[in-house]
Amino acid sequence: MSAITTTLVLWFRTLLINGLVNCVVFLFAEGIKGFMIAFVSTIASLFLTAPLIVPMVVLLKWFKKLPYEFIDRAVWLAFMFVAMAAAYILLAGFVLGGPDFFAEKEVPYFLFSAMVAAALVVPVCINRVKQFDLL
Amino acid sequence: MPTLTKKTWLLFFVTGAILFNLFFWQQKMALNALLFDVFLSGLLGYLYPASFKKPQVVFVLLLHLVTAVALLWHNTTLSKIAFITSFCLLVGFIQYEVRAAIFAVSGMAANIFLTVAGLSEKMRWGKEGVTSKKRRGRIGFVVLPLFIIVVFFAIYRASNAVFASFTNEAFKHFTHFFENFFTHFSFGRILFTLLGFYITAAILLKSRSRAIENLEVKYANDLLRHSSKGARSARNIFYHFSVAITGKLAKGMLALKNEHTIATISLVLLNLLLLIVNGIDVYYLWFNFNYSPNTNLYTMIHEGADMLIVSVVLAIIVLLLFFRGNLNFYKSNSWLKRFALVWILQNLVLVVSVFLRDYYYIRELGLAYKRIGVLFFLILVLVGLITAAIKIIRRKSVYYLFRINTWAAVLLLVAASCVNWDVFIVRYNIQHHQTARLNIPYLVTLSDDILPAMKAHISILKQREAELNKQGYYIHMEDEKKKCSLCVEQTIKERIQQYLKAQKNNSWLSWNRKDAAAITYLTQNQ
Repeated sequence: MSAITTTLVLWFRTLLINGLVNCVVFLFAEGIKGFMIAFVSTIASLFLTAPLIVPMVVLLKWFKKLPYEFIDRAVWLAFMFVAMAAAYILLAGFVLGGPDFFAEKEVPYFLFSAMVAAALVVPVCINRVKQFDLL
Repeated sequence: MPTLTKKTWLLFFVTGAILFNLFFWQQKMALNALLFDVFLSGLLGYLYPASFKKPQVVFVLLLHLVTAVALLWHNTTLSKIAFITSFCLLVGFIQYEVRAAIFAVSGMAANIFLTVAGLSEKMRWGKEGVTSKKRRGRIGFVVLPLFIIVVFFAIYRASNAVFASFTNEAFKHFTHFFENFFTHFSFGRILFTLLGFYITAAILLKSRSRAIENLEVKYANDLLRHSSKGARSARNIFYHFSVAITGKLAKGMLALKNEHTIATISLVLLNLLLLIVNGIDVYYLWFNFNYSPNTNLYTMIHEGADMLIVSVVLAIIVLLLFFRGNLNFYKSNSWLKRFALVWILQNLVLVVSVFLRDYYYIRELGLAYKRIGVLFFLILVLVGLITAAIKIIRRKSVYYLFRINTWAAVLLLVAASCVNWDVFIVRYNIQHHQTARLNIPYLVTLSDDILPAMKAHISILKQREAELNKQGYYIHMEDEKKKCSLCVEQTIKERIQQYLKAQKNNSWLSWNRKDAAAITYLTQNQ
């Protein structure tokens, strides 16, 4: 698999995990409406997070070149994904919603689930190392 | 580097995180920075003892000491920037085998970027093998059932009121625990401690990347002559650019001769053009400058100076393009070199003209940050021109030019950090208020460092404000609509009160000579 294909798979899986985490978080926060919120937010994030594919490809290319063992590189990649996800949500939210964005009560939930999803996607894919050509 | 156990590394990082938390939380960067610096420098000395014999490390250590004194003495933003920059340089030179300042800073940047990988490497328990793979497999067995249980738990909770109240009761204890936890331990402070952990690890752990060292090895101080085959392989963006501009002239056996002819014609024409510009400047600016109130100083001096600085920087780039390769070794290049050196000399005259423009501006309107900035930039341009001349005469590489000029920039930063510019500007402008118009609205925008100096010269400021009021100008401070005749005094009084109030929140960790002296003076003269 090329870096771009691997990135696309990783990105799509991150969105799925994000949807699942959102589902759990919003089920607790909003009750049964949480399903709907999680579904809509997952569909929206398909479009909203598309620009992240470019830095993800770059990170994945660096990941392959780093002079560390596989597990250390994987930890590094997971950290970079988490940092990128958090920075992107805060930046995009600020650009689209202005300073009021940070006052929205849903923001911590979205931030939390995005960071969890970004952190989980690498360990999930490690079990399919050969499939994703990460080594 | 001594071989350390995981526990020792962890001890270093945790100690660093705790110290960072205790020293810097809600404190100014002052004495605390020095204490943290001693801790980290001590550890660097223990981890990389051999590096402290390197001349670059000794030199940067001296610079760092100067910035540390400046930080404790002046505590300005510039001294803080210089302190952090010199520390990054120190770490870079200690950990990496590099010669140029820019590569040392890049080394530190690599450390910051790869800290997590380094931490994972140092903190990993047990070797990657069958056991850990089995463990990961077992975790995989747990994750999905756990997720399904959580989802159904949430659904039942949302649909069944009795179950919801039952679980709410249970959750109450859980949330109560967390609420209490965060009243004792601030979430912000936990994140701050983690930042301290990350910073300590980034400074102590050298990244395993050799890219920076390998890159610098490729560059030498002296230029080497490429064979025609080598020159072909070294074709880069400049080659393609010259082919795009000059077409066939840049190709073939006579390419170097053609390049020589083009460079000579360009330099002759540029010299003639600059001679006219310099002649005008020398006649009008050097010997016959008379300031009259009708002269638009801003347009003549400010914008003019900006454009001239750009022209000098462009001149250096043009010379670098011409003398980038084999033209340095061309047999008949003596006249080309002479024209280049004359052009450098003419650019030096231009630098003096810009300096004079800035001097007239300061003389008429007093000091300001941009005017001081121009002076610093001129020093850097001067170094750039001199090193460009050395490069041409002694056939030095662009890397040499870059290395020397980055060192010049570092030295200038360290030197600039030794002055409190806000106070310097206020004192100079007040001392020269009879020759240079005092710009009070500008002065009050400067930092709180100026308060003692402003307080000491309040009568002069009030006098200037009264003059402005007579002319119909009013200094609007906080409220634009409010017209007041004693704005300066009021504003300074308010700012002093706010400043003294803010100082009460700082502990001994934020101690610095500037604030200590200001507090003593302002409290005694309230």
